Amino acid sequence: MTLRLRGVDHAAYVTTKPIETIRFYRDVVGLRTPHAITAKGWGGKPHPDFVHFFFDIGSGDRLAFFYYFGVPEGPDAERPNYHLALHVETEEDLLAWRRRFEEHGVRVIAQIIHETIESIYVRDPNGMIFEITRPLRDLTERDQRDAELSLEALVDSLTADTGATLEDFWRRKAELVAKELDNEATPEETGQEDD
Amino acid sequence: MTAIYVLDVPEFSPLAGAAVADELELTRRAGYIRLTAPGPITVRRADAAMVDAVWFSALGGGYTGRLERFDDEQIRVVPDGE
Repeated sequence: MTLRLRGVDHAAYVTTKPIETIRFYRDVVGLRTPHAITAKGWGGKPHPDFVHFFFDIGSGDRLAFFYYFGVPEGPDAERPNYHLALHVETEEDLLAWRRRFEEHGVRVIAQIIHETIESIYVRDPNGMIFEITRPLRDLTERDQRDAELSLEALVDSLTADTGATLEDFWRRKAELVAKELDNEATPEETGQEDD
Repeated sequence: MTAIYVLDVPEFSPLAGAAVADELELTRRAGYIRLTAPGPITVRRADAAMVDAVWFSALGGGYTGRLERFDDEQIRVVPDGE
C-alpha cells in the first residue's frame, strides 16, 4: 500500500520557562490551546512529572511543550530535547509505517495509546525522536476549556512558588474547575427553582 | 473533605465509575465529573481499566486533599492533615 502522511501533527519542545512560554504563545502570538495533559510518574527519570501543552498553529498543526516539575535550571541541567510527530488518519496507516520502519531495520522504540492519539516512535540518525501518530477521537471545546484551565493553574502555581510540584498544580486546577461547576449550577441545585 | 475532578471525556470518565469512598457523591456538570467524600477516595487501576498513558494522567482535572498514593495500581486521596 501507499504510505500516507498528512503533515505535522505536533512539534514538541521542552521548556524550563513555562510562564514566559505561555504568555508569549497564548497572549502575544494569540494561539488557542486545544489540549493539555498532566501526568505523574510517566515521564521517565529524572523528570517523571510533567505538563504537556499544545498550541494550535493552524491547518491542524500544533506546537507543543513539556514542562517537567522539579528539574532545576542551570548549566548542569539536561539539554532540552524535542520531537516531531507527523499525522496519519487511520490505524491502517500507522501500522503500515511500523512495518516500513521494521523492513528497513529501524527499531520502533514504542507504540503507545495516549489519551487522544496512538503513536509509534523511532529515532532518526540525529538522535531526534520521530513520531507517527493517528487520532483516537476529535478534540472538542471541552478539551480546549480544560487546557485553558490547566495553563492558568500552571501559571498560578508557579507564580505562587517557583518550586511548585505537580501536586500543587493539581490542587490549584481543582479550585479552578470547582468554579466552572459552580458557575454552571442548575436552578435546582442553587435553590432557585420556582415552587 | 476530599474531591477528585474528572474531565468528562471517554478516556477519563471510567475513573469516576471506579472510585470508592464512604458517602461518595458524584456531580456531572460543566464538562467534569466531581467526586466528593468526607474521607479518603480510592481508585484501583484494575477497576478503571486504563492504559498507562491515561492512568498516569487521570488526575488532570485536579483534586482536593492530599495525594497519599499514586502508582501503577492505585490512586488514593485523603483529607488534608491525615
